[in-house]
Amino acid sequence: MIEGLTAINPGLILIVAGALCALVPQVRVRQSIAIGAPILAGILLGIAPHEIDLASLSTMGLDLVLYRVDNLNFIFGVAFLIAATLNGIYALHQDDQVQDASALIYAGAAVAATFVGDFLSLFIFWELTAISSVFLILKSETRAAYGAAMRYLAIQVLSGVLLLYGAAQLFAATGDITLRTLSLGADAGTWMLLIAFGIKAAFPLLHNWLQDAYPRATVVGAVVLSAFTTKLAVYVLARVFPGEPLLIWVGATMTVFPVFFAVIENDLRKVLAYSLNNQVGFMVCAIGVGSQLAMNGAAAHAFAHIIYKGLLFMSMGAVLYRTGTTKATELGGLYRSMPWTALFCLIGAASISAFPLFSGFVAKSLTMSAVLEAHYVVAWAMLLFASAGVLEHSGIKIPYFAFFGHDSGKYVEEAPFNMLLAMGLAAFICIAIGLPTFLGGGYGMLYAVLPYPDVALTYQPYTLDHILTQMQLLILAAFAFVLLKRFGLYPAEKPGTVLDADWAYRRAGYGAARWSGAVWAKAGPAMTDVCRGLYQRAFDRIEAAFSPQGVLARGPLTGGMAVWSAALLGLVLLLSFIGAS
Amino acid sequence: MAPDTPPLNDAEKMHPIARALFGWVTFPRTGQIIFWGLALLSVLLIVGDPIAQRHTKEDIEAVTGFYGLFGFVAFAFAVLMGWPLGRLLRRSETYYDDDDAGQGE
Repeated sequence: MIEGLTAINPGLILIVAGALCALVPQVRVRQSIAIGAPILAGILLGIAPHEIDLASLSTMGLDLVLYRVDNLNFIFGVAFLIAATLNGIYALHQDDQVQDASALIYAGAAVAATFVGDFLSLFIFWELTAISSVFLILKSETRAAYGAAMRYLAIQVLSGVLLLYGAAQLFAATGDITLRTLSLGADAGTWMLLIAFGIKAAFPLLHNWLQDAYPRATVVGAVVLSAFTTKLAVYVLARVFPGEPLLIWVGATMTVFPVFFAVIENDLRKVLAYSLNNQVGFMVCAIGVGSQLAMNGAAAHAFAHIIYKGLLFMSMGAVLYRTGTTKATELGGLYRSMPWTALFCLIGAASISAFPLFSGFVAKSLTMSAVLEAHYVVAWAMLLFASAGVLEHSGIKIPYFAFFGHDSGKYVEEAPFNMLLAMGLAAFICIAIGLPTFLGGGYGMLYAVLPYPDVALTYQPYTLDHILTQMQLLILAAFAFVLLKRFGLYPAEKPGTVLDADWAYRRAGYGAARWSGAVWAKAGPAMTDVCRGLYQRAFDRIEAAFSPQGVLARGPLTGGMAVWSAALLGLVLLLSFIGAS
Repeated sequence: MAPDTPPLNDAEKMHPIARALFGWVTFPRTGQIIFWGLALLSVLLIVGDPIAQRHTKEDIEAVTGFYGLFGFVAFAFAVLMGWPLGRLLRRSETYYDDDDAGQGE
């Protein structure tokens, strides 16, 4: 019995639960499924033995591994399941069959993808994450959301197609479809795979689907979306390209550039989307370094990030739910009416900023130490810059402009209880895994489930060095904030659309397509007219010559055609007579 | 409530929990205290740097107050770049044809 259960990929539980939700109209039943399924999946994951193929399938000459648990995917799976449970609680106030089903299938696809052991199975669940999640954007039911959802779907599906193409190339070259460590450039397929993962991880210039789609998703949708897609890509990068030096620079760039966009962005959920980019950059950079310490850093950061980023999106979701906006220019002073939401948001902000005693600190310290230990000083300086940047946009800007700052005069109801409960639980986790180890609690709980737990447990985040340097960075950066504010040098928030790389396809590309459409609309009929004219003229000439009323049929010789025909026949007869004799 | 007390408008209301958790925000001197508190803390952290005798892996991070100064400069640079970048990149809310400046639900 137990063996049968341990062969079920926990992601499948969520997918089946999601399909059930699509069929069940009773809201309470759906909600029980939405919270119960991730817990059941978590139990199954807990009892599964590690490092063996628990479910496999051979078909069409392909050996597929449908379920395999090891130290790397275990922590990602646990984080995904916790996120799915919290999302279920966060959604309790709403009765929306489509979103319930979509969220569960999407989470299930991400979990299932985390535990498969071959590229083909990965492709199937990879695409399922895209197709199932698009409803979380569409259900906003605005024109902007519709456009963003279509762009999201196109880009995500493209990522899947590239993944399939890369995997096929790889299979053709090696005959092996196993999900395994590859070195970049050994085969053209590896580049395809990197781009496929890069789209989902939102690498620089491939990142805009994220800022485009997440802020337009529903209140619950943005929370759900924030947890899975990018972190699934991080996991797959850690699985396939650990220690790939290119990733160090891609990751470091990813941490830096969103900082500037986040400063000038007015929509606070979009600020969080840029912040998500910046955080994933830390993980990608750590994967590029590839040492055991760095891989621990990437996994720990992903775990902590899934929780605190979810928490921040939840708090902004609550603000959107109550006030109808997350624009900084329209908010401020909400601490008066939403104090619990403000408190939880501050805990998320402290966590993402990596203040000591919060989860970000114990996770990011690993990465920073690993990058420095490998002597990538420039990349390390970039990450350090980005750490100050995180404090700016997620640590200060989000809570300050929403809950404090200039008072908007808005007085709304506090968030519904279920939202507060989900935020409270997420905030609890942020602190519980961030504290120094005591009585079996604290960061030791997180470090024990990292890919290399032995290495992790010898690492001390709470040394005087770490605390002092991190506090210097944060406190002086915070002092820079109050100083700039005091002297009026902090740029005021303004409404507007901030241009990013998506201008290339939303404006230039779309414009070019529309222009060619317009040109074709005019050129097409014009060309048809020209052709028709030429054809008509040719026909008229021929008709004028050969028709019964034509030139050859008229004139002094009546029936000229008959004479000419007789002459020609006579000529042919003559020639054949000469030829035969 | 006395019958002659006018009802509070939205800008004056406060959730009871807000009073307990964040009541200090409304104190007139809070801004000053935060400003000077952070200034003092910054100085202490930098002064405490040589005393702590940090272990360093690279020469540059051994400089006294390196992390603090880096954080200060990085933060200020990121924020100040907001001025030119805002001018360069900010367009109207309906810049893209399909944007109706709408948000989620």
